[in-house]
Amino acid sequence: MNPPIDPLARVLESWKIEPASDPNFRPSVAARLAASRTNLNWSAYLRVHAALWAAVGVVLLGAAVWTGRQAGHARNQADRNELLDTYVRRLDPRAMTGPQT
Amino acid sequence: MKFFLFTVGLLAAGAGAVGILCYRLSLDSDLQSENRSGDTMAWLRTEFHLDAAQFRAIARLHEAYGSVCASHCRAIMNARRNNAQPAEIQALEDECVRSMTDHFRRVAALMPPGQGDRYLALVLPRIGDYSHTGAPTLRGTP
Repeated sequence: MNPPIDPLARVLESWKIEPASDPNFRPSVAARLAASRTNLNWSAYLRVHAALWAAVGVVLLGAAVWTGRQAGHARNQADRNELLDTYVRRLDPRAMTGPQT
Repeated sequence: MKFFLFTVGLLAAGAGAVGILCYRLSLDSDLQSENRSGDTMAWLRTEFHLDAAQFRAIARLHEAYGSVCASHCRAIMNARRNNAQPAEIQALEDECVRSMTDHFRRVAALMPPGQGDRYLALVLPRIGDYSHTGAPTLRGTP
């Protein structure tokens, strides 16, 4: 004896999905990908290139410290030399009497 | 590209700020103030590490030398005004150099050990050459 046919199975057999195709599907996916790329923020960019920028930062800061200190020492040296010249000139009668003949 | 330029700009600005800070921290404020005011005696005291007694003795020596210096000054000016012979003016200037050299040696003798020699090494070349061309700097180089 054959079992009775399930009406649900019959319905499922006859069921076909025919979705309407979206003509903008591909362009919209491409647009979303492009948007995600442009929305990358600076901190994310830094994280991606952390090693490079850390190295550049260390080099730049080192150069800045060295240059600043050298410039400061040079200025101190120039001040000392100027004071030394003034000191000697004040005790030098030849300097006080004008240019040499 | 904009992140690259922004990062470069930010690091450059930071490095500039650090450089300026280091420059300012390296400056000797005493030296700057002495140079601005032209206070050579205060500079002499700090530069050659003079204690109070040494400073007073050197200041007295400088004051005493003032009259000697003035007499040399008058003699040279008179000679120039009277259009004296170059040899005569040269003789007066040589005498002036000898007098200054003696004075500086006396000053050096009052300084702490080691500082006197450094002082003479700096001042003597400056009086030996009136134009001061080629006189050593405090680093010992012209």
